[in-house]
Amino acid sequence: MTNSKSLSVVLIDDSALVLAQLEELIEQIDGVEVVATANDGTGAIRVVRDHTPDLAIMDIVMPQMDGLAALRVINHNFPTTRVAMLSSVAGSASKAEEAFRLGAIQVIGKPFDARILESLFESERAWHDSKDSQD
Amino acid sequence: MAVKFFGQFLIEQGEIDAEQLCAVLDLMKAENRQLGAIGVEKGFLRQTDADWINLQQRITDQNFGEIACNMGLLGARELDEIVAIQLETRLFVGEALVQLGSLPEDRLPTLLDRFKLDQAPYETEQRKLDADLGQNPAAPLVLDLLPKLCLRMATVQMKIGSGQPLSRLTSYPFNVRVSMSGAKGLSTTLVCDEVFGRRLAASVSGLDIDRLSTELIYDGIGEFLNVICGNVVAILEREGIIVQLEPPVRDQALEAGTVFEIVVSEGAASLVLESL
Repeated sequence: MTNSKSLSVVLIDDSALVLAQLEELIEQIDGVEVVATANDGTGAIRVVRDHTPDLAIMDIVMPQMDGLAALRVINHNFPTTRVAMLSSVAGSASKAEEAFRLGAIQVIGKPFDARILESLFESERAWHDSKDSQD
Repeated sequence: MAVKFFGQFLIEQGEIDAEQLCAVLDLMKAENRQLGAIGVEKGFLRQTDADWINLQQRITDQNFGEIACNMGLLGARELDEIVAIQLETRLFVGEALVQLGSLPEDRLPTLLDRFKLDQAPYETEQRKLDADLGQNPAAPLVLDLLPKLCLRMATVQMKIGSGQPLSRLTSYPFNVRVSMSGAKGLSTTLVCDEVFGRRLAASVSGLDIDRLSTELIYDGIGEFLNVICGNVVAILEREGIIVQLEPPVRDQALEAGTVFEIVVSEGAASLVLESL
């Protein structure tokens, strides 16, 4: 795993507290770099377009454009970026199903902790390594 | 008369002081073991499983036993055994005060009886929701989940009093509303002081309590309400009732609703519920 290239990540949440928490947790994880943050769906599309990250971690419930609407646009226009949703409505089967249907790779419930993120990044690295070896 | 914990009641009655109560809470924290720890000690669970169950408890509205049994990590007999051990070994405030020599043992039964009498109007089963909230399926869920999740997420104990008119609302500096919109929607507003807001935000995020700005405290209260209401949305959905969770908003004027006085072990807060 140490030979894998660093994962580039963007974070999108309307809560500055959640962004700070995510950044602090990710700082302690090797091989993952936060390249940008945004606080709504429109911002999510912008940072994905500008940075083409490996992974976006995005809230579902946000003002202006919500996470599911942004997910639809990102998956259609920027397919190299994979998206994990992070939400307090993760327990809602309909929301989770909709997110998966729109292409989310994971729907993580809030509150979350470092182990959930580590597991997400580990599976993402494995996915990228496997894809790189096929290319 | 107000909602309170036994320790608060004893302070109010002049039986103990705050320093003695803090010493007792420290002792209880050290002595009282969680079900996961007992399960690991008995060899029923691995530490990683216990940690995972504890995490799931923070996310869902299932208790430890439900999650452990549903996942096949514990059998019914094993669960019964660790619950029995926890109950047998659990140290309560009164006993701990006696143990530390802060309260004479022979006074405890009398004080407990007086406390029960004092708190009788605030027991959950006696709570009466007004006609408006009584028809709202989300309101009792919020009132049920709020203290449970506050304890799980913030390790802050909470009791909720009976509904009062909005005119009884105490003014606090932080006011955050999360609404569930829909035909049976509900707006949930938490108003609180900085002590409680800061503690909530630090617990929800894991960030250092001293580095939290006013902005982050507001966000923390919003995130906490999001988790409560997110669970309510999921529960209602299972019953075929669809409501949508809206993002948190701050400092909205309160013009209608029912006030529930909240007693927390750290700080002060009130909850305002309004059917939409």
